[in-house]
This record gives sequence, structure tokens and C-alpha cells, in this order.
Amino acid sequence: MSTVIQETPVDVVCLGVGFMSGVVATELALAGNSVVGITKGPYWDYVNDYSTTKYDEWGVGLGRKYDSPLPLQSTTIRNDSSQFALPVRRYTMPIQYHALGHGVGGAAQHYGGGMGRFGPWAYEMAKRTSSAYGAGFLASINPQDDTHDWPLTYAQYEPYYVEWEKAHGICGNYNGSPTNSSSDVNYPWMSQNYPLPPHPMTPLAQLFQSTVQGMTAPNGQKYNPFPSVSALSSQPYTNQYGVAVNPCVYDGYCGGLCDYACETGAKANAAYRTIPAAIKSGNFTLVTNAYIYRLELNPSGNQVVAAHYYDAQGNDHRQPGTVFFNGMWGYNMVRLMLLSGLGTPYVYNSGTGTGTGTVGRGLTNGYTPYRGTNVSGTVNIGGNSYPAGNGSGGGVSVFDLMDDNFSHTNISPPFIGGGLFGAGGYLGGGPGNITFAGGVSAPNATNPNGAMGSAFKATQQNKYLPTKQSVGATPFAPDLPTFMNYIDLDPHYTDAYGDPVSRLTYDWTPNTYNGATYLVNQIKAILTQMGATSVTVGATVAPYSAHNDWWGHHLRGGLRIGTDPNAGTATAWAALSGYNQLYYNSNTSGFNYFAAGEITNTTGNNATAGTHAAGPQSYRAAEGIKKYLANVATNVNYLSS
Amino acid sequence: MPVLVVPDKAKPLNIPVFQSRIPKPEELVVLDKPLLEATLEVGNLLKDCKAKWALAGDIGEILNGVNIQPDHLTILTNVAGCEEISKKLERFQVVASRHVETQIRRNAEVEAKPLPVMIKSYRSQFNLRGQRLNVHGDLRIKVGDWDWGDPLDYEPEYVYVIGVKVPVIPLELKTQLYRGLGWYDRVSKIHAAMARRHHKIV
Amino acid sequence: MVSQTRREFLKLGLAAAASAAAASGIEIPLLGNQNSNLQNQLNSANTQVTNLKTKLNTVTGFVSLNISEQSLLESIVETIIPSDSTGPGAKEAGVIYFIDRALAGDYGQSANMFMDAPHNPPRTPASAGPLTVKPSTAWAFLQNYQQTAYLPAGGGGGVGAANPIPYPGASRTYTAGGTNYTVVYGVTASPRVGSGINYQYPVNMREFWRISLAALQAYSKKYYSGNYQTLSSANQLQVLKDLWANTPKTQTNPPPSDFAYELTFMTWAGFLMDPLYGGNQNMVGWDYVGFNGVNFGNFYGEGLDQKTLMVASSPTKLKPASLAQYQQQATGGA
Repeated sequence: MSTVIQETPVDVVCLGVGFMSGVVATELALAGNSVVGITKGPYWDYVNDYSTTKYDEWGVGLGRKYDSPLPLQSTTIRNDSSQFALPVRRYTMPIQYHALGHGVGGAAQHYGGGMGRFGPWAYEMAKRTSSAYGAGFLASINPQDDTHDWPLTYAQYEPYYVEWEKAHGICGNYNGSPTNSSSDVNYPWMSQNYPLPPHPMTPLAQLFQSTVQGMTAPNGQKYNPFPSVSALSSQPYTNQYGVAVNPCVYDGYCGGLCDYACETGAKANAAYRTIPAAIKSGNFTLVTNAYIYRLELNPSGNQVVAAHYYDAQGNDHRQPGTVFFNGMWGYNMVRLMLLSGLGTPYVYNSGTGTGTGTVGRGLTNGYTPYRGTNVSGTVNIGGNSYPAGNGSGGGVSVFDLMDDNFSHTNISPPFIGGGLFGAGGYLGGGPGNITFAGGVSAPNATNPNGAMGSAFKATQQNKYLPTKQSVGATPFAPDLPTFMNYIDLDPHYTDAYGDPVSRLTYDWTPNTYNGATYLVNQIKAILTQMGATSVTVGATVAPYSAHNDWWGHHLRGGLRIGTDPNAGTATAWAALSGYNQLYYNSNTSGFNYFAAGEITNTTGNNATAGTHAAGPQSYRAAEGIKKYLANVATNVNYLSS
Repeated sequence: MPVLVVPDKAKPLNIPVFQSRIPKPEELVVLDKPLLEATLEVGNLLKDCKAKWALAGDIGEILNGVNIQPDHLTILTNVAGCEEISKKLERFQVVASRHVETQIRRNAEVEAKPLPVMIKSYRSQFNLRGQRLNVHGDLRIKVGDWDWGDPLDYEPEYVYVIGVKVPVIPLELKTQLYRGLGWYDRVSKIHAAMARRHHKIV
Repeated sequence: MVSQTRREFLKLGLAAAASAAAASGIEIPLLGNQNSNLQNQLNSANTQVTNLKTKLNTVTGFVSLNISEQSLLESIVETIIPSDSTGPGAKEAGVIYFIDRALAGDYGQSANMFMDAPHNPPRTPASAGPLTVKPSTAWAFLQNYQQTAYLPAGGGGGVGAANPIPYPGASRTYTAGGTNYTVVYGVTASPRVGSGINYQYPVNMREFWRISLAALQAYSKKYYSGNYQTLSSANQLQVLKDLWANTPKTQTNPPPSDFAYELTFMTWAGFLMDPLYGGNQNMVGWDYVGFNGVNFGNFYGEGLDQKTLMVASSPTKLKPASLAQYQQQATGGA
């Protein structure tokens, strides 16, 4: 038996050190508590680690040199329970498998920085759909519907949104609500504006904006365009923790599916927003290159008492704590719960098409289908699409086609919700060479020799210097939770330490595709009004295409919070943050385990806006943890007060 | 419940492990909370100030990412600005505006010789939330027995402090000032901050 | 004294010249324009450096590909990106050297790949019969521990959890919104070409290329009556199209289309990745597509900046700069 190194007990143990743990660790450390943050990767020093080596599509985009190494752990993927799930064996471009985070800052090292609040409807999707369209409406769209509402309303989460946005320096100008008041039930109204102004608009964004301002949206009012919300600082900024933030330098090695780390720290990330203040407080200890493999429970199994991890040399450590916050990446969070025996694992019955249990349940997606019904047109505005700009600025969006902003009665095929549509993001937000090379197609109707030969080569000449642009979308309505999509432990593959990896069982659901038909027609009207030529609607794609083309990195779900303990974990103190959740089992009040949150339901919004909607949950979790620590000595159940 | 560990499961690792140096607290540019709150209050109260003003001194630098810890706030403005600010911050005023000439603590170093540095300005002092604020109108500097310089002038740059747009003295001006005074340690700090901000992107 | 200055001067000249081949001249802070003899030497040093740079940038020699692979691959990459009237192709860019270096390094070693068994090929049709796979000992151990915590969502577990698990695939019919949809799920997933779950082979990339190049050559000899290098251009292209279409029946695992993808992908990568990796030599690939590398508008003193370029409505072509140039400028410059 090897010896286990005993670490000093602390008040709070943060598992993973990404966005969500960044908030919790900082809030708790600044409040005077002892906090430890454990991450399997290193502390990336952006000044030294990125500045001269990041402009490297091969190393960063394909080699994923700043990412979680696949030999350490992978995940397996399948569409249906009847299938053998295949492990992701390599990183490829365009990235299919998630580029989960590694090190301080986590996955936020490499995202395009797109943000944007969820609207009030998203938090009460099941209730409002039922009252507007009838109790059986959701089930009629999705045969195995498993939609449940969040435990709090948008209005209750709103103050936490404000804290999140201040902490991370989110740039924008409201969210397109015509009145920005709480009576605007279909828009994410704001009690205060985003703390930073938006990035400069492109000519295409201006055209889009002026066009839609003169058009009537399905809700009978004019469209209300607003600048696309971005987590990339537009100005020098200081947040509420006193952390100084550099502005974006627009060097364009930002998004583009390679999703670069930011060498100036302008891209919001725990490493440059929250963690510096935690370290400065003296109450926070960071443990890097440490692989958490188990949580230890007390004998009655209702309290977590310690986290176990391996260091880089393979030594075993035991870190005891009073409270645990799980801020790990989505599947790893669920996987750790399963490996540790926490909560009731989800079990699916393909015969009945239902399931029981909660841990791993309700996997959904927040990104456009790889193939789907689409629409596009050509606009005679050129530009520079080599790296110039950033990954989420420059554009303009409308919220008027989202959520329940139009009546869904008598729409065929039926769906709920809608999508965020926008145009004009910087053409050069990310370099496109490795994405292009990795995405080469077989010979087809457009290119009879595929990506080979002189004719195809000629199409690539000066492609970064376009004199016109294609504008359009592959829209999608919310991908709703169903019983048949879930996360569990894989029976065949293990990580480098011999524990089963996570397995994702997922296929598209009808609501996602059904919304496309209606939405492409709205977008088509906008494109036509903008003066686009060759406006074409692509062929309708049926749902359940089982083509396994979904984007693993924008998954949500697996550990929901809600008010029904049989469908999700309970209590309003459960915090949701991206993939983090405050886990509270209402049957055992005082349960001290707070997991990183999950999005209960998602809307047809930009993928990383899920992170934005998850942000408030981390503040909610921090608040709940503070209350817990204050009451634990007196054994008062603060949940009832 | 005991930790359920699969027997014989730890395998020797052949995984790339990246070097990880965790920064020390003194390497991180973080402004202390009391000064941050005072800055925010000043920014809010002086939002409609007609005269030109900007945060100067160490506070102006840390807001731009320079690794220096201020212990008070400084504002640089002109005489009219000093009057206007005195009115707006009346309830915090502890020393009324007056013309003052003082020697600063640190000497200039010119050709390896230390020279005393005098400053003169139309000055007032405030106390906001326990933090000292010095306001200088038409600040002029004299090194050794050289002539007095002209009142410092600048075009402000802006930092958003939790959403409040606050003017600050440009770092370029501070660099010139420090060069003139021979304070090269301060010049390096500013250069380091600029390197973090721009990374040689020409 | 003079010779020492000249040495320092030349050193500065080399560093400056290598980093930014600016026509506007190189700033040597220590020397002014007073001494024309030294100025002449500077000019001569500049010329030497430019010549040397061109030579250095033209990487030659192989570290991984064997002799038969070298000439075969050369023909293949030149078929995929030919040198033609529109501009240079794979040959000028040195694509073959990019691939060679990649095969010798992490890419070829599959250093950042998940290589564990079992290896089941993707796209296995349901008609092939159910797949049964033994679970890992770790999973079986966890299942047998008699805790509900470890039950898998897909069912199974408990006593006997070490038995092989069947995956039959399924045909499911869903009714959604009044329409019936039938979906057939194979026993394994059906990934699209190039996805991260497409490659399910127990060999590393270097070996994959070795096997596949040999198979391609064998196919060419058998069905096109000669080595690939000797075929007409039209037939060379056709062989590659055959691979994409899985026409050769001599090889089914891995299917030829997987190698067709890898060839095409790596050829374009060799044309467009930073020259540090051996391809895109002299940045001919970037020049062809109009890419800037790390020239953000003022690398060569053009006086442009990103904030203007990003909101332009017509394009501006920039001369590309490479990562090596950027690093030289970053460390050698101000």
C-alpha cells in the first residue's frame, strides 16, 4: 500500500480552477476563508507562455499543445444506447471533440469570447410552454422530453449576472429589449448595462443593423439590434477585485475554431480576472498538475470529507475540507460524481424511453448542427479575413427571434423557443488554415475532385482577401433535454490511472431541427432586405440523422438543478455555472457538496453564452457556501431561513 | 463510505506535464479594495466635471496595469479644475485649496548626482472612505536649480473601473517624466506593463 | 578597436536583417552613416544574409520517409496542389518536408493520441451482427461493488458485470409533430471523415502512413499498370479519387478513404502552416491565399493597424511574416 500524503484541511476545496471555481475561490478567499484550488493542468503565465509561441496553427490548433493531453484522459461518444461508444483518439480540426480545459482558467483559455444572457423565458421554459401551448405540447415535439425548469427565475438570478459581468469585464450595450424593464418578459433586461462598451462595428454589421431597424419582427414590433456581447475587453479595465485588465489588441488569433489563448489577458478567464485577487489575499493555495480521481464520503455517505488526487510524480494526496465546490469541466464533473458514489446515477431504459436517477441526466447541446437546414446570401462588402479583429466583436445581434418572442401556435413542424441571429463579426477573428485543411471534403457536386487539383487550388487563391461575403445561418431552436441523452461511465476505456472515462450518449432532438424551417424564412427575409444576392435556402434536414456531427465542446447538462429532487438536484442555493452546479439533495439538508453547475435548459443562444448563463450560478454558489460555513458550527439549516 | 479505489490501478505516466510556476502575490497587479472603492467614488462624483482632470501618481499607473501599489489617490488638473473638484467633493475636503510649493521625498538622479525635486501647484486634500486624495492644479516641477517647468499638460486616456469611465494620465507622459528624473526603475515597471499589453504587436 | 566594432556591427546587421527584410534600411544604433566603408560592408552583409535566408528556408533531406515513400509522396502532393499558372504548389512550398517532419515527430508517434484497446472500426453496420465487447477490469470491479452508484445509465452492472456487453445497434421509429422518423443506428457510431473518433486503429500515424502508402502503390501497379509516379496526371488524380470513393477492395481496414483524407489534409497543412514546421517555405502558401501570418499591418513598416483592417470593407494584402521572424523581432527589437 503506497502512503497517502495528508494535506492541511481547509474551509473550501475547489475542484478544477476554471471560470466557476475562480469566482468561488476568490469570493471565499476574500471573505477570509482558507481555500485550495486543484487543477490537472499548469498555471499558464500568459506573458511568458503565450506571447511568442501562440501564433501557431499547427501546434495550437491541431497539436493542442496548450490543451488536455488525450493520453491522460479522453471520452467516448455514441448516438444511441444500442451502440458501442467510440473513444476520441485524436484532436482534429474543425474541432469536434471538446477542447476541454487544462490548467488555471480551464476551457476559457480557448473560446471566442461570445457571451450574452439567457432571457426570462429560458428559466421557466416548461411552465410557460405549458401555459401558452398546452400541457402536452413539449411531449408532442420530443417523444422523450425531459424538460424541467430552473429553481429560480431570471429576476432572481439578475443580480448575480451583474456581479459576473463586472468581474469579467463583459462588453456590450444591453440585449435588444425595447424597454429594458422587468416587464419585458421576453428579453434579458438589465438592471445595469454591461461594464464595458462594445467593440467597433464592421460595415456588414452596420448594414444589418440599419436593415433590421426598419423591419418588423414576428412579435409585431421593429427589430431591436444590439452589439454582440463579448468577453474580450474593449478598454483598459479594473474589476471589483481590483484586478487590472488589458484591452484587446485585435490581432485576430482569437477564435476561428482554433480558439487561441490571449497573450494580453483581454480574453476573460479566471487566470486574469479572479484568481490574481485570490492569490493576493493570501488565503488561497493553488495546486497544479494534480489529477483529482475521487471524492471521499463520510460513513453515512451524506457528506464529502476529502478530495483525492495524484500529483505529477504519481503520489497520492488526500485534501480534507469543510465544503467542496466542483468547478470541473462538464463531463469530468459528472464522472467524478459517479466514480465517488455521489448522488443517484441516471439509468436509462430504452424500452420505455424513460429513465430514473439524476447524475448524468439531461445532456443537451448549445451549438449549431453540423448539417442542418440553412440559408445564405451574398453581400458585396469585402474585408480582410486573415487575422484582424477578435473572435466575438464587431457584430450585431437580435433577440427578437428568440424564446417566446413570437407565437408558436400553428407552426409546422412544431417547436418552442427560437434562435439568436446576428451578422458582421470580424471576418478575421481567427486564422483559418488548419480549420480548412482539417475540413477537406471528398469529391462532390461543387468540387468534383474534392480538395485536389488545379481547379480546386484556384478557389483558394487570395481567399483571405474577399470582395464580398456570404451571410446566413444554420439556425437551431433549443436542444431540449430528453431521457435518451446522458453521460455515464464507459465500460471499456479508462484514463491513464485506470478509472473508466466518461461516455456521452447523444443525438439531436426534433425541437432543434424543427425550428430551422421557420427561422430560415425569417432570416431569408432579412437577407433579402439587406440586398443580398443569390439568397438560397438549403434542403431541409430531418432530425435524428444519427450522423454524429454534433459539437462536443458545447454540451450542457448532466447534473441539473431544479426543484424536483427526482429530476434534478434541489434547492435554490444550487448554483449553476456553465458546467458547474451546486449540488444539494433536498432530502439531506446540510449536504455540503457543491458541484459545479449545469445548465438545466438552454436556449438557441451562442454556445459560450451558456457560460454566461452559468456565471450567475457561481456567485449564487459562493453566497450559499458563505452561509453554509457561517452556519455549520451552529448546525442551523439556513435553507429554511 | 471508503474511497473506492480499483486495485492495482495506478499506472506509470507517460503524459506531458507542463512546467507550472505559480506567480507570487507581489507579481500580480491587484488594487487594494479600499483604494478601489475610493477611486470608484471619485469617478462617479466627478462624472460631470467640466474641467480637465485625470488620476495621476501611482493610482493612475496601477489602473493601467503597472505593478505599483499606491497608498493614496492623486488627481492632476488645472486651477479651475481644483476649484470645481473642491465644490463637488466639499464634504470630503480636509485641506482647502491653496498654492503650495514642496519638496518631494525622492530625489532626481541626473548624471549620477542626486538633485532635490520641488513641485508647486494649487493644491487641496480630501479624505474619502479613509483614503487620502491630493488634487493638484497646474502642477509644475523644478529639478535642482533648473527653471520651473510648465504646468503638466496631457490628453487623458480612459480606464473603465467596474463600468465607470475614469480619466488617467497617459503612461507615455509618466515615462518621459521618469526619464527626466532619472527614475529608471519606474520606467522599467511601465515598460513591463506595456509589454504585457502589446506583446510586440507592431 | 576597429575590428571589434566591425564584428559587433555585423552581428547587429545580421540580427536586424534576418528579422525584417525591410527595404527602408536597418537601424544600427551604434553607428551613423559617417563611415561609407562600414556602410558598404553593411550592404554586403545584407545581401549575404538574404541569400543565406533563402537557402536556410529551403529545407531539404528526409528524416522519416524512406526512399520509395519519398518519390511516391512527392508525386501525390504535387497532384493535390500542382504548380500551375496560378502560382506555386506543393513542390515550391516543400510540403513533403512538412509531412516528413510531422511523421518523425509527435504527429507520427501519435504522442497526443488516445491509443488504448479495444479498437473497433467505426461505421460498422447493424447488419454485421451485434458487437460484444469485454468490459475493462476497472469497470467490472466498480459494478461488482454492490453500490448503486456505479450502475451505468445504459443498464447492466451488478454481479456478472465482467461478462461481455452486447451492442446490437437499433432501428428506432419516432413520432414527432405528427411525422414518423425512422433512424437506423449501426453497432458503432458513424463519424464524419476527419472527426476525432474516425481513427480507431491500433497503429500510430507513422505506421498508418507506411501501410497506406504501400497499399496505394500496390493499387496503382495492379489497376493502373505502373508505379504511381509513372502515371499520367489524369490517372494520378483518379487514383486519389478512387481512394476517396473506397474503390480499392484490397484494403478495407482502415478504409482507403481515411488515408485519402489524411493525404489531402496534410498536404494542405504542409502548404499553409508556419514555415517553422518545414512546409510553406518562403511563405509561398500564405502568399498564394493572401494570409498575413504575424504581420498585423506594420511588420515591414507599412504603417497599417489592426483596428483599421478589421473594419475595412475592401481587402488589403499584406506581405506575410512568419513566427520565427516575429520571435526575432520580439527578442532583438525594442
